[in-house]
Amino acid sequence: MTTNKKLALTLGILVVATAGITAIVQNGPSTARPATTTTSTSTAISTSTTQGPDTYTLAQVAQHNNGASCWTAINGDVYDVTSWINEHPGGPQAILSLCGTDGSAAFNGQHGGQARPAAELATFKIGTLVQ
Amino acid sequence: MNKNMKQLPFFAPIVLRLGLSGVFVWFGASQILDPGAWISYIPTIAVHVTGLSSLTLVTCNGIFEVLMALLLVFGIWVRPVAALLFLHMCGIVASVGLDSIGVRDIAIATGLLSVTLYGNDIISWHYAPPVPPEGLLPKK
Repeated sequence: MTTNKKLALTLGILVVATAGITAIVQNGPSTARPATTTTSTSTAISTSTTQGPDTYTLAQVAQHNNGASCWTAINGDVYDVTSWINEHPGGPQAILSLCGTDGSAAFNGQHGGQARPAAELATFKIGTLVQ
Repeated sequence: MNKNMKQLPFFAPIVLRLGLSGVFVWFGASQILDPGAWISYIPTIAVHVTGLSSLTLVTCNGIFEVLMALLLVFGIWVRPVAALLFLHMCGIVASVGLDSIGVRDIAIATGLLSVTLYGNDIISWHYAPPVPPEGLLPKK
């Protein structure tokens, strides 16, 4: 085997191993999102500190404004999207920017009228927004 | 310019090819490992035309990307593989649109076009030295 073929094999294996291991670490079973988010740890802790389990004010949503506990209000409903931050295909920053805010404009601007993002979002619903 | 500096251009296509291969290995593996996180990117028409579920389409797309990346990373059939991935990326850009993700995909597609044009680099499995266009060479 010539030197350049040995180099091709070595570098190829290195690149595949690095990218593959990174993908496995980030998307493997240990980080898999639960089927229903209402039973997720972050939601359970958060709802226990609020008086109404199904209705939230924007002020309550605003308290969950970081990557450790990320809530957002979209089109009148409240969602706990903490577990979605690192799984969002468009990158975590797009979700982090919505934490603790009314994300209706951002969501509708990016995914308005698309059935699948709406269906995906629905799995994170924890309640409705009240004034 | 010393000898080492003059050799640097030979590594440019290698770095580009390996970098793009890594991107496709990561995205392909991610789609295979967790297809549910990617279904929002499957156009509805693809589901209707193929009759396959979104999850199946994502998994198939992931397998395709990993296989193409493996060929690209080892420098096997570089030109046709890069051309195929370039067309694949064009399709994704057309589907996603010109948002922040689409613009990044255009950059990836441009890189793939560059690899397609260059073909086999010096450590590809089948290396063939490129022939520069005579009209662009500086006159001696």
